[in-house]
Amino acid sequence: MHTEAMGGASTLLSLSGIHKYYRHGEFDVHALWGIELQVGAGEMVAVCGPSGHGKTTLTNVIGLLEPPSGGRLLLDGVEAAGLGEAERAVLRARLIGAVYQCFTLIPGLTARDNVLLPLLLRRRLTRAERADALALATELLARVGLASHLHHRPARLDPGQCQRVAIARALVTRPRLVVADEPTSRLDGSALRMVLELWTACQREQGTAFVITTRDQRQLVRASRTLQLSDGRIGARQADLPRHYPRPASLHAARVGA
Amino acid sequence: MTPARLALCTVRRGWLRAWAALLAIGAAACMLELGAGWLHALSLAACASAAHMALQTLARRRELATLRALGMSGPALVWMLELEALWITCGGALPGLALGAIAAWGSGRSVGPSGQEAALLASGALLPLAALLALSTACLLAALVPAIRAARHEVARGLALLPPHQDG
Repeated sequence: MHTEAMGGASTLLSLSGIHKYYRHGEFDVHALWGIELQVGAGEMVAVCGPSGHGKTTLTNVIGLLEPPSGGRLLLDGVEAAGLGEAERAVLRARLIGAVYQCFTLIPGLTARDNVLLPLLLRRRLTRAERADALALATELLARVGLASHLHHRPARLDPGQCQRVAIARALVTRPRLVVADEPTSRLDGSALRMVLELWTACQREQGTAFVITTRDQRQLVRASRTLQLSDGRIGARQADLPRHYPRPASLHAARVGA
Repeated sequence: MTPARLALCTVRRGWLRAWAALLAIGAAACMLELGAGWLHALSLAACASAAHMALQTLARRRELATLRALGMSGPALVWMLELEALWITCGGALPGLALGAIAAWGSGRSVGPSGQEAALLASGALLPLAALLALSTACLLAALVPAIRAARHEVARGLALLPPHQDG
């Protein structure tokens, strides 16, 4: 059962009244306050906002890494808010590709094996499936500009290259939804262009939806929608954020002045 | 990617980091070959394995959380860590047993235990096998606790840790 998301696409992800709080000793830290969000297939939603205002928590909740404390989370028609860790892991592996902050790669594996990992962890592949998977991983790495780094281990890659490997890894399972936490923070202009082209192709060809937290103005240009997250609340939707989004200097000034 | 292959990759990359555990397990194997008390030798090996795996899982929380986030199940993670412990045990025990055999031969002692144990084993040639089996069992059991603890660690919290090059 799908409802209509913004822009008419069928809703892949629906968050309704999502709260998240953590207990630190005697205190409850309320990280997310009643988040309402619908994301349709093929949409790219950018969530921006200052550090410490809940962006990573939101991606963790959407990426099914941790359950919300309250509210409803529908992912591809499945109510995921009340699921246990094992069930969330199954749903995560089936539907979601993720780029985590600091691009967590496995140090003992080559770039190509890191990209292949989500497929290989899922189940034992046949010889033909493995050949297809290798070809796909190679192609994805080539499309993010790392064709000559297939057999390099993360220690031999710079942070920007590691980030591109993590981006390729998030797409290798052909997920319905990609959740990315500041995925382009270490990319230079040409690398960012390649990544954005790859994402656009995934949106167009596979209907992949993206929820991306970012402070990178270059990336916001490609987003279908941009949301401002502030103090754990989604603020007014900004249709054309690059024009309205405060530049880092004025954002800093606003926080200092507050 | 099977847990066995991942374990092998990790151990191959981290032999040097495991030097203390390798040394202790090797010494325990050597002790067994030279006829020392089994309880002492196995305790030494088990403590070394438990300490090594506890430190390893602590240092690699982020990596282990990544594997869980990418779809590795809790039992598969425990199995992977147990296999790592097994590789380390074999890596320490085999040279230790060889050294023990050479030392025993060099000192003119018959290789193997005496008395009831020897009768049970029937032949000194069985001793290295029995020692390896006992050491592996002890080390695997000792590594089980840190492995289970690692599998129960919250994935999101593990991912939130800073990567090693950004620590401190």
